[in-house]
Amino acid sequence: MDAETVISIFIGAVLAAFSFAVVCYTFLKDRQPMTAAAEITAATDNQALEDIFDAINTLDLEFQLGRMAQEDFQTQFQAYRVQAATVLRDQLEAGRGDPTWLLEQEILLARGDQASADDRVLACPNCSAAVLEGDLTCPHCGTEMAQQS
Amino acid sequence: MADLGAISLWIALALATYSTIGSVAGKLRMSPALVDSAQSAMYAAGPALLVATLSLVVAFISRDFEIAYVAAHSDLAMPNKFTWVAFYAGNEGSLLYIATVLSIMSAIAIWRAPEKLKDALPYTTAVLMLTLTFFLAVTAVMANPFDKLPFVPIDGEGINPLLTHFGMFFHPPALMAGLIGITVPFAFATGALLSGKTGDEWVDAGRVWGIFSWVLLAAGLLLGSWWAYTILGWGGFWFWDPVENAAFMPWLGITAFVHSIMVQKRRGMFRMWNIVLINVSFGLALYGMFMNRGGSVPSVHSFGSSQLGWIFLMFMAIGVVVPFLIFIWRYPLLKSAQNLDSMLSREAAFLVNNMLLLAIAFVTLWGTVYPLISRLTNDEEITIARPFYDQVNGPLMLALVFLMGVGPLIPWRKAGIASLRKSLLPPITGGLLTVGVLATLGLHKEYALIGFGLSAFVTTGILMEWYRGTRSRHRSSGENYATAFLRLIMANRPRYGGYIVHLSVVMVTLGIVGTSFFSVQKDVVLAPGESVQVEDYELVYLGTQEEFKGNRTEFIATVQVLRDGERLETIRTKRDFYPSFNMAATTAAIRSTPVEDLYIVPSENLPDGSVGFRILVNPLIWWMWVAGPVMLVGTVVALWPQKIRVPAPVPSPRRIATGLRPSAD
Amino acid sequence: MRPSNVPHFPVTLTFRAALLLAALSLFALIGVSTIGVLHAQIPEPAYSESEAQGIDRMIMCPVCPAETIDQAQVQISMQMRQVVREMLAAGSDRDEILDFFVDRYGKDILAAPPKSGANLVAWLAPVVGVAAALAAVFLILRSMTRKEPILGPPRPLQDAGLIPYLQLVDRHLDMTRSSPSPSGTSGQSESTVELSGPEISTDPKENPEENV
Repeated sequence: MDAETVISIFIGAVLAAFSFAVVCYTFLKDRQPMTAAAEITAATDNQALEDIFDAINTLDLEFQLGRMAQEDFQTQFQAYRVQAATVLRDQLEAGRGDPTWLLEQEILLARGDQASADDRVLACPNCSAAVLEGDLTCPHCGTEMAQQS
Repeated sequence: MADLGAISLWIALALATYSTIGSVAGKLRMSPALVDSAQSAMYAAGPALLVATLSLVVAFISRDFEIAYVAAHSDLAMPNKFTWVAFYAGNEGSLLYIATVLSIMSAIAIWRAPEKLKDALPYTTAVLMLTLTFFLAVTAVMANPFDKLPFVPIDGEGINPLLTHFGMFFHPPALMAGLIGITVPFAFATGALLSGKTGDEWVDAGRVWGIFSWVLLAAGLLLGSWWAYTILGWGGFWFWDPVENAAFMPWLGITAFVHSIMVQKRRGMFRMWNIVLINVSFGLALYGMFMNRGGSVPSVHSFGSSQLGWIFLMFMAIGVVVPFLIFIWRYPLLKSAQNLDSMLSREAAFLVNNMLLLAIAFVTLWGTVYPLISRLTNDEEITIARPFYDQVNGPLMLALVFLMGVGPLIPWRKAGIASLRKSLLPPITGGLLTVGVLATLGLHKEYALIGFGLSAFVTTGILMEWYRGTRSRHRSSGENYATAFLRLIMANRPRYGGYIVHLSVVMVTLGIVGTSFFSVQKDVVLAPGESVQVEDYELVYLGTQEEFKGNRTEFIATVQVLRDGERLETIRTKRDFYPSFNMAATTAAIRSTPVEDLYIVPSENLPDGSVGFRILVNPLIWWMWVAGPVMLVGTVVALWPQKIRVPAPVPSPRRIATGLRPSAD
Repeated sequence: MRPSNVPHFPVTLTFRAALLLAALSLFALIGVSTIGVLHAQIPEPAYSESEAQGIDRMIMCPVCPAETIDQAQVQISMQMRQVVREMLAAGSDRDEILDFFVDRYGKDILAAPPKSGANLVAWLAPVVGVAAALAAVFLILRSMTRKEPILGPPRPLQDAGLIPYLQLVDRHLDMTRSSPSPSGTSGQSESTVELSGPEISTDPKENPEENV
């Protein structure tokens, strides 16, 4: 048995041991609590919203390129708007969204209802969370707000 | 190194088998640990196969002739760089290559699979690993690259000379990767069906991997054509060879798939059809790989081993029947989310596109198997070659080019007649004007006129779209035209990537029409000093140099090219004769311009120094090769991930589970 | 953006000029290409080498794995090419030459089956198949358009509770859309929503005039 064969068998054994370890590891480690269901639903919600906004994007493009009549565009656009709003509401009401974000949106809505003309509620350009005009940073994601003088 | 290679091959086989069984068992018995373990086994198969691949490479470089495969495909005289091609020169090596590619693609596909597919992943893994198990089992048991010879030969048999040319470094790997790559979208679709996810969850993954395997196959086909053109020496680039057809058909299927998957993504329609389509494409891909292993029809390509052919045929039968059964089982659940609003809509156009592509595939399949049918039924030997395909597939392809021009101009859901007419006016004008101008200039071949007219039609349509979109964006955002154009592309990547790819298809059309209808061929024998006139080129044959190089004799002929008395270029073309293979490989001299190629290749070297030359003037073929890079650019743009911003950030599991406020980073 | 600013395509002089320019550039491109192409239209002398080559491409080489005698460089292939030219020079036409080879080698010497007898099947099957496929597409599309809508339409906007969510959506659209569209601003859309709720509903049952 020459050196090459020995090395081959050695590396082969290492590979076999490594594979065996990798395969058995999952049986031995502690399992994390199943958050899969929640993750999947949240991902599906976001997918639904992404699809709607992607569709609006395409709709805009086709309208600008002169392929649709004004009425057709309006009909579809309004339908998408309502669809998006419905998904958002369902998400909020079912409590499926990010709790912190949900809390902030509820504040936004409450503020929006009572907002006077001076006290404007804006949206963060990065994450769309509620920002009062005058806030220096977004309370949710921390992006600096451009100050309007 | 043979032992290490063999050991790692068997380890990979064990891992793949375990992964297949474990995924299914774990899912059925609802044991997440088993499912995860099976997934880990899949990840481990990749490194194992890389070790095997490396072992074979080392064996080649060290010329370990004890290994039968190394002895059969290399020799002492072979330069090391040819190890790359020698690797897949034969069945054993190419099977190992395919398995390695599949294991890597599977790992990436599962790793990057979207969250919403989590329930389906074990089944997807099982499908991928079942395919891998098959390939590894065949490799390890029937075509093991690490089998040893009972003695150590002094020298190997050397590598097939045809493989030592540049195109061969890329054409087979790309093609084989493309064929096996179709397994990935197929696995996502089947996995989704098996786990009851009959909606649109698998569409994003299916689209991305569908496009990826599409571009690999397209690159493989174009590279093969380019190689045939420059090396094989008869001036053509596609032969409707049964093995070429076998790679062409899955490409047609996957082209249809990447189009109709857009309909499912946008409207949730064609759910049933897309499953059928990806199943058909996968079946055709298996057929393609079967044809390469010694199919029943003789060809320049087949690796020849009939036993492997039967095994592949069996796997192909399973790979077609079982998915079909799964489809029937889940059929009641596969309902579209929405209906068609109008027959004049992009959805309908995509369906017509699909039908045309499948019609071309059907014709190709028919042409490939008809000789067999004829032999079996009325005992008559019939050949089906280029003239048949030209007459039957030609019109279909022209119809497809037409659709390629019209389709992008039709909006989703419903096209208003008035706005459609407005959109179509410039392209139709462009097409008709082109036909008019060409006819006036003297061009009268009908098909060529139609081909050029349609090319102009499509190009005008695409450029018009770009112009309108840019102008509209420029007006509303104030950006200058250049910025507006770039931003327009980046904001609609799938669409504009598609436009670029369509442009590349127009370029291929130009090349095919130009060469098919207008190429001029002259076969002539020239003594040194003699000249010949072809079109407006004068070619003076100066003489041949004979160079003896190890395993071959090179006959290098020098030719001067003149036009209108003015010397353009002095070119060299050579013919290499390999006595041990009794084969000659030629390298054509090609003077290539966008207008036409001047193509010279020697067909025989006579003892008195005269050379038989084949001279071709091929108009427009340059466009076909340029189409390759353009297609790649278009694909990159189309696949570039585009994050759609929504009014809600993606909740992270940590946040959901613990309700913690995220830090501002 | 006011609704009246909707981008129609005014077919102005500028637009037509641009269109003409684009068309002309296209011809320049194709014209350059066809200069090379047109050389091929120069008529060939006498018995036409290109005709001989055309016939070569219709005859398979008997010993090579699926190559025509035009491509193959083996001895027998070259001899057969010579025969083709001799027969052409002697005045035979294409069909006579092809029949000559079929008599000697059988029908499979032809690169494509003759369009007669049992072999007509080879030519007709694809035509029938394609026609069937196109008919199938037409019928499928027609049946798809006839069905009732599957998904219920979005809820009609008498649902005032949706308004704050519409605000969220509009705010987001304002920020992310580079090009304003007719109902971009939240203030405007809010009032549009409240005042014209029933009209915007796309429920075909409620808006029969929208049927197309």
